[in-house]
Amino acid sequence: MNNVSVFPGNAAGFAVEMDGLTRRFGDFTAVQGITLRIPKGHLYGFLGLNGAGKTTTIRMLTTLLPPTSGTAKLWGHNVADDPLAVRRLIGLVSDETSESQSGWTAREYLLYFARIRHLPDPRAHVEKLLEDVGLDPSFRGKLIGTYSTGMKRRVEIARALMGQPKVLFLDEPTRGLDLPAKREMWNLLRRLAIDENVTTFLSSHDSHEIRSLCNEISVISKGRLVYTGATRDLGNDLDSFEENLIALLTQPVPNSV
Amino acid sequence: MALPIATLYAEELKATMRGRFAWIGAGVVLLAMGGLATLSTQGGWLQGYGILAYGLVPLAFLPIAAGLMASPRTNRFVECIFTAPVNRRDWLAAKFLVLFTLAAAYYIALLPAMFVYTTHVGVPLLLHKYLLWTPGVLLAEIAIGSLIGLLFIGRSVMAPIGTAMGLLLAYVVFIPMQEVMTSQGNGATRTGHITLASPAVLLKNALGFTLGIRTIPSHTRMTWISFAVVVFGSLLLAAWVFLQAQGVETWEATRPQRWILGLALLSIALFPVIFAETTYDGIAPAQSRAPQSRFGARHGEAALVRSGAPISRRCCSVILNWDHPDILANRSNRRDLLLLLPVDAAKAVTNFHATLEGGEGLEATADSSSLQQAAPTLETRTYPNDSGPEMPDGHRLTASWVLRIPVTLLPRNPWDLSVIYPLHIAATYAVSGDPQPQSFDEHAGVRSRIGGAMVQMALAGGILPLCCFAAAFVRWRRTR
Repeated sequence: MNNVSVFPGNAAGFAVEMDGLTRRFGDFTAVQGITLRIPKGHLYGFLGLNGAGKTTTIRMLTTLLPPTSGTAKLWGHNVADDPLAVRRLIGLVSDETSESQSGWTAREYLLYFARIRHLPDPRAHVEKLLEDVGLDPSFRGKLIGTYSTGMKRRVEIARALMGQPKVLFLDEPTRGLDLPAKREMWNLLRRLAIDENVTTFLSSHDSHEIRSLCNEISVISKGRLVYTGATRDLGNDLDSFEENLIALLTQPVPNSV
Repeated sequence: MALPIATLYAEELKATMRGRFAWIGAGVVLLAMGGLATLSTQGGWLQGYGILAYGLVPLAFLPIAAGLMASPRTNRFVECIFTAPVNRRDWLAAKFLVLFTLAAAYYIALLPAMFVYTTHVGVPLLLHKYLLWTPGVLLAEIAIGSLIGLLFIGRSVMAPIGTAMGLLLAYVVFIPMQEVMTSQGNGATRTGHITLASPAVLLKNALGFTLGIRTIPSHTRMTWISFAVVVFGSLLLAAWVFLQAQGVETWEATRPQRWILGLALLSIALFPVIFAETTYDGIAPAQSRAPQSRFGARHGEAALVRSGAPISRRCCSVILNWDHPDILANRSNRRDLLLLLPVDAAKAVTNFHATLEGGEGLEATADSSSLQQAAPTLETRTYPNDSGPEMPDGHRLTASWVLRIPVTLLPRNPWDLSVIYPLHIAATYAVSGDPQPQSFDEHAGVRSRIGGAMVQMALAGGILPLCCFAAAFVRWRRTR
């Protein structure tokens, strides 16, 4: 296992490319030298303990945080040099944004983003998205603050899907969703990957979800990649997968920071 | 396709009023201002409502701007915005435009009440200065507030709003402090210089007016430059911090950038304190046509009551109708003027001669038969518990004479909605058993108001708050 992980395929086929991606906060290094390439149209799992560097990596890839060193490209666009081009390609569901506008309705919230993205017929687009994520029409005009956790999640996912993104970054996307909704979401992500070649970068603590959705995964520990490979290589069943995963996550990391 | 900045501006403006209590808050503030306008017409509208509405409330845009700039970054909304194809420069410009729009809306909200006022009174100098002072103060507070909001990048809105509130209090306190210090000749002391840190004080000096004192700086060039440094320095620094020294989520400033930021903040804070003009050697222009005479709560010897009405138990003040309704401006008002003659009711009063002289536009007339009476008709007033006027020999009267003169008062050209006209009453009379003629001399005031103005002010001040409450109700109905 090392910090350089490349999937088969030519350069034109990569949705995400990281090369020595590093982020420091003062003396603390949150992410160190990650090199990884993810082909287009893949559902890709990204696992790690809390504080391992998953969120920092996602924030760098989504242009929220500039890398200290190294490069990251999405569909060939450098996140540091061409952030607007990158933002046109991505959708993000972060763990922390669902409570941000509790005084808005779902329609207002999504219309805001539809309009600033200059989408044609924004109202119809918003209704279609809300239909896709399964938000009951009777709730669409009510304040987000009155929604259940699952409903808030659906609104966030609808926002991330706005503008037909090429790469989706999802941080615990199904947390709080009930089982049917979770299944619907998985099916939606699979459909997006197959039909529209959407790449999904999925960060989750749900082993079952990762195993169900992702053929390839990376595991990050203390800012470094400690595993990149096929999901099935970590175990044929959920128990062995989790045992191997825990072993990876708790093993000492050489030159850890 | 619409310009991105125009779309962002429109969406951010709508978003601002989607807050749970945004419309209600705006309505309450405007209703309070309307109520104050109505109440202030009972005193000096310019000195009461004017200072509050045109000077102090605009200062409150300091914490508003800080909160509006900081909140999207404290509740992580920026993560959603800046993972959409939005240029940070455009978003910042849209935010500034939203703040300027809110400021303009506040300024416009003051107009209905102001139009009522100017219709009746015209535009006195103080109001003219207020109309320039307010946009300047709003601009300065938005610039400084935005800078504070952008300096605090983090997960709590309390830090920027708390800082802005502290600065707001200082700015408010510096206004009377500067006037008091200047009136005492201490405008150029160290503390006098510090008061110039308030943009409201700077702009007041630059515009050449005062709220209560008679001296202003005769030179204003450095004051104007200082004001420009504060306003445009804050705006430019805010933009530089947001675009160059910070990322979406956190500071990304290099060491040289930190030095630049520190020095810039220090310069903006100290420039007006050091360089603004503090030589108060000019004479402040008169705020309005108001007379210089002032009527306090002094005891008086006369009263103005409705025709035939008895004298009040609590009589009397130097303001003749202080406990009776105001007389109406620009109309003839029939009243009875009651003179409390300090004469024992056991003695006769004869040969009464009186003159009335109104000032500052008050015409006071009475029948000559009332002003010249050989044997006047008198009423008595009794004083219980030894509370009567003290006589030269030391004893207090238990009953004295009151002389009633029917008068007609016509107040013209009021200089405010509610004013006090001066009225000079002089009289001589003889008292039985006393060879010396007695005299009565009273420099009094008569309170007058413009009829209907108060109701008009209340209606004018109530239109926009009602619109705000209606908007809040509609939104509540729509989203519940």
